[in-house]
Amino acid sequence: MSQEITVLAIIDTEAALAANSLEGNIYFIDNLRKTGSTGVGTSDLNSMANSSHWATGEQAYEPLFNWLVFPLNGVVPTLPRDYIRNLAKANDNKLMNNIKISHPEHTNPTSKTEGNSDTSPKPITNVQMPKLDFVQTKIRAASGEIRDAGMKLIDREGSFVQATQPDLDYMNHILPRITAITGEAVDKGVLFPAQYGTPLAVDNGWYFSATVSSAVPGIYSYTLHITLYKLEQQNENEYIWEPMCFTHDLKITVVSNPMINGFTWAGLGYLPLPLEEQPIYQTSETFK
Amino acid sequence: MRRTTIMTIVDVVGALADDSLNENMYLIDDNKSNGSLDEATESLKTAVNIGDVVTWTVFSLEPESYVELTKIEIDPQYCVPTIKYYPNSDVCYWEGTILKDLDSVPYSIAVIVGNSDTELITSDGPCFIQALQ
Repeated sequence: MSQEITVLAIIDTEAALAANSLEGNIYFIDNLRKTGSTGVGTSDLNSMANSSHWATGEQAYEPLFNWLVFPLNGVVPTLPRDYIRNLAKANDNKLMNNIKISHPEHTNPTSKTEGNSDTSPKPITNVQMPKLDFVQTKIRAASGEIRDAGMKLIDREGSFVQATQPDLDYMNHILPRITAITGEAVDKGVLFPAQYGTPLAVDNGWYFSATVSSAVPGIYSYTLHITLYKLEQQNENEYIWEPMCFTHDLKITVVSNPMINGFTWAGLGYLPLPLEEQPIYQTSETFK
Repeated sequence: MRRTTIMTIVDVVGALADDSLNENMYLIDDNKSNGSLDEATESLKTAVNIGDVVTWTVFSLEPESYVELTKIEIDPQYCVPTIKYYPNSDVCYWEGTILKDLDSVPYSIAVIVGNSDTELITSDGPCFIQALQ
C-alpha cells in the first residue's frame, strides 16, 4: 500500500488574524520525522518522501500526501463534523420540550381545565418563551456571496455564545481551508494535488491530497493557499465570517532511498517480530 | 483572567513503534504572545498568571488512530486539572485553573495510544511559566 503521509497544519488563528500573517502562527507536523523530515513542529517543514521501491528492489506504491489544517483556537477536531449543528438542534428541542411541560394546555389537546370540555389546542399566548439570543453567524464565500453559516456560535467548551454580552475572546474559530496547492513541486510534476471528500470527522469532510512522483529526486518547494475566517460584527446580533487569504511555502524532499517499514525499519518481507526471540506458535496443546 | 488552550498532538504510530512519547508528542498553546516557549515540542512552556484557565485537548496526527489523555500530574497547590466532556458527546478535554503565582512548575501528561493498555508518560515534560503580562 502507499506510504500515507499526513501533514498537519495547526494555526493560531486568533494571533494570525490579529497580525494579518501566518508567520510564526502556523505549525506543521508530519509523520516522517524518523525517516528524515526536518523542521517538524515549525513553520518551515521539509517533508522527506522516500522512493517507491522496497529494499528488496520490488515495486512499491508512490507516497501519498494528505494535508489537514485545524485552528488552535477551537474545539477538538475529533468531534463529529456535524457536532455544532446537532448541538443546536438538541438545544432547540430541549427548549421546546420545556415549553410543552410548563404549558400543557397549549400543546396537548387532551389536557382539560376543570369545567371546560374544549379539547382543541389553544393559541400560544402568555407563554414565557426562553431567551433565544444566541449568536447566529453568516459566512462570505470566495465569490462574495453571503450565506447562512448554518451554525450558532459556540465557545471552546461547546456552550452557545449569548448575543447579549458575547464573550468573543473564547469563541470557537471555524476551520481554516486549504484552497489550492501550487508552486515548483506542482509545476514540475512532482506533486499531483487534488481535493477529496472523506467521511472522517475532520475538516468538514474535505481534504487536499497528492501523490508524489518519486522518479525525480530533489528538493522542491510548494505553496499552500490557506483561507482563515475572521468574525466581523455587521449589525446587532449579525456576525459574518469574512475570508482572509494567506499563502505559506513548504518543501518536499524526494529521495531514492527505499521505503521503510516503520516498525521493523526494513522493507517488505520482514515481519514486525523481535529478531532475538523465537516466535511462539500456538498448538492444540496451548488450549488444553 | 485568560483562557489558554493547549493542543496535545500525538504521533500514535511513532509512539507505538518507540514505546515512548519522546519526539512523538507535540504540545502547542495559543499564548506565545504572552511568553510561552518551545511551541510544538514535548517540553512546551506555557505562560500563565494566577486565575488563568487552561484547557488541554488531545488528538492524533493521523485521524484514523486512537489516543486518549488519561492523566495530567501537577503539584495540586498550583493546578488541579479535571476531565470534562463537550455537551452531548463523549469527547473530552481537561481543564484546570492556575491557583497560585508561579515561576516554573513542571507537569506530566499520560496518554493511551492505539489498542495498547499501557500508559505512556511525558519524560521531558511541559511546564507552566510566569506570563509576561
